[in-house]
Amino acid sequence: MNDKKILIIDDDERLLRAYEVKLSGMGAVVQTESDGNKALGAVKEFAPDLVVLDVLLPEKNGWDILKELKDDMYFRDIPVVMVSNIGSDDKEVEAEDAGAAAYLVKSDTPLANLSEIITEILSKNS
Amino acid sequence: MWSASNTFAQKIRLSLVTYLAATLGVVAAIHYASKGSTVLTVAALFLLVLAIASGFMAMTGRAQAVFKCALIAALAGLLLLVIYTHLILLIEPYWALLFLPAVYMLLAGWRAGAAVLMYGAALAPATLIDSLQNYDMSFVGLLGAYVVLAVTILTLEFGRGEEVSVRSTDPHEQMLANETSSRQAAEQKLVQALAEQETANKKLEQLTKIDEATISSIGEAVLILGEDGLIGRANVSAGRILGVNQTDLKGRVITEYLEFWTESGDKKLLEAELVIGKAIEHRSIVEEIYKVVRPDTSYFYAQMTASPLVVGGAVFGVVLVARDVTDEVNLDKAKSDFVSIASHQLRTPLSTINWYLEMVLEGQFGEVGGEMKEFIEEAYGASQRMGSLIDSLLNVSRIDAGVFSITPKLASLRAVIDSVVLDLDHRIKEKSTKVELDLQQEADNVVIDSRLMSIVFLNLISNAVKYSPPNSSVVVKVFKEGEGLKITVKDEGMGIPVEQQGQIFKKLFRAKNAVKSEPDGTGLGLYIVRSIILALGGSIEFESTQGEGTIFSIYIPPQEEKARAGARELSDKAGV
Repeated sequence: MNDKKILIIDDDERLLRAYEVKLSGMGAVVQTESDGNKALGAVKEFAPDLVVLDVLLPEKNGWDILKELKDDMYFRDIPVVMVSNIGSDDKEVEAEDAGAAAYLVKSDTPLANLSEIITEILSKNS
Repeated sequence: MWSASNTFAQKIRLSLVTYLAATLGVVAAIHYASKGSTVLTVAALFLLVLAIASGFMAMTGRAQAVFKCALIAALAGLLLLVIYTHLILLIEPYWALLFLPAVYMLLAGWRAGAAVLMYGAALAPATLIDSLQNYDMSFVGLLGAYVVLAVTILTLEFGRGEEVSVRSTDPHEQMLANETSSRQAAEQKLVQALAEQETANKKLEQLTKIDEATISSIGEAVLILGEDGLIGRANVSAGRILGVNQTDLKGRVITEYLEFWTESGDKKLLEAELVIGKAIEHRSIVEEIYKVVRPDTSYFYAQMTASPLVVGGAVFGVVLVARDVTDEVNLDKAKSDFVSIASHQLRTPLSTINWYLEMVLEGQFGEVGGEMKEFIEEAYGASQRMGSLIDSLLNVSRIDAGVFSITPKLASLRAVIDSVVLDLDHRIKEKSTKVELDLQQEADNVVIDSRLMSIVFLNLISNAVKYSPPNSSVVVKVFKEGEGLKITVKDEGMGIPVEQQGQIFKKLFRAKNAVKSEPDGTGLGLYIVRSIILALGGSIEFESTQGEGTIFSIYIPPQEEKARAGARELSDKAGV
């Protein structure tokens, strides 16, 4: 994960800290954003290798942000890992259809597993 | 034309008989009233009522009833006079003579018999008037009655007399006479049949009116469509609910005015995808819920029920009933959304606890050892169980609210069981439990909701492992039984105490020995399992001997590859 740029978009500050500590500890360059409206700007500015995107965000939800990213010819190839605490097979299929690289339920996924999945996606894309 | 005139003649005859009975009634009533006899006046009025009733029935075409009524009227008149004249019948012998042929005719089933009997009865007042000599009014009335009676009898008997009188010894003439007689009989039958047909038509017309009124007064939209999908009839509610003028619907296809979407609103449906086509194709009643958009772009949720109209094996249309279930659907959504949001809110802090503890245990912030590590591991384990408990509660809420979906699809039950066993691998290895799978071929290819079955197996197998001693065996069998599937899960565990066996499917119930052995259980697993099996139309039972083990047996009937309306899926993470 050396020097890979990861943008985390989540409104839970505690979780943002956990992502940051864990992924930075693994050598990634991490930037966080808690405001859904600023997500697209952050992607433009930071040009991440991967985006971790929470589904339930105030004002603008993760599905809308994902659609905007996938509709944009410059950003559509950036892999997006959707995370939420709403779990169901339907959502996994929905995320896959919308172009997400993965859909994970936070409370059911240990941080170690999340990191492994991110590493795997990044290695595929490099 | 012939039949019409004949029916008219018959009506005339009936009317004459009625007139006679009525005249008798009126005269007798006046007579007895003038004599001050209340009982007999009432009896005479009864005679009058019967006469009027027979007249009414004559008009409505119930010929047999007219004769019965007229007969009763005549008998009543006779009885009245017999009483009044102190059994005058016995001292006037010519009465008896007149009654004999009348009785004979009745026994022979001749319709005219009734009239003859009335004639005999009518002679009684004549005798009476003769003996009393001073009732001019009665006399005039009765004289008129005699004339009418004579005409009636002549009219009734005319045809018969004609039949009898034409007999001849000449074979040709006899043949001709026979033919005439047969033709007349046939004509008479035809007249009768036409009269019956007329009555039946009137009844049918009345029934049609009742049907129309019934359909109109139904609160739901009722549409009758032809096999071609064109609307033949629509009731008033159809116009109101669908937002289309009732008369505009006739002769149109329903999708011409309305848009039909799936209940979730994510897919617009074509005409062929609606219940109408399915009901015709499967020749069975089909019911689905759609989001229906009216021409003015307002929408509502409709429960559409299509029933094929099958006559003599051929489908010639569909009855479509649409019920506005917007309130019910919204309530279901609200319940479901509440459960989802509550679950999300409970999981969010749990994610923080899990991830932070995980990082501490990994040594992200320095090495952790000894008792501290042990305590943090306990906290981490408890947090994991909390996640599972939230999933269980979420499932129970969805079961209780009736908002979980069933989506049977072609799936491999073997793959479901393998995955469950893999999930439980840690616990199975920990106890050195031997899990044996005995799955027939049917388990590889079966139409079933694999997510729901995963919850069922997860709960049953984890219970079997959890409540069994180390090194014991758990046997899972799946085999075909009748048209459906039979599943058994057998363990060699502690068993369920006999006195508590009746309660094990109750929500939050845990058997005494189970609590003692595994304090962390939720008491929700078997409740969820049973609810799922019942929702699939199946059954679950068990046999258990304390100290020897338990076997759960499940039967699941064949499932159709379609979804049951339900807003949310159950979570299969629960129950471990």
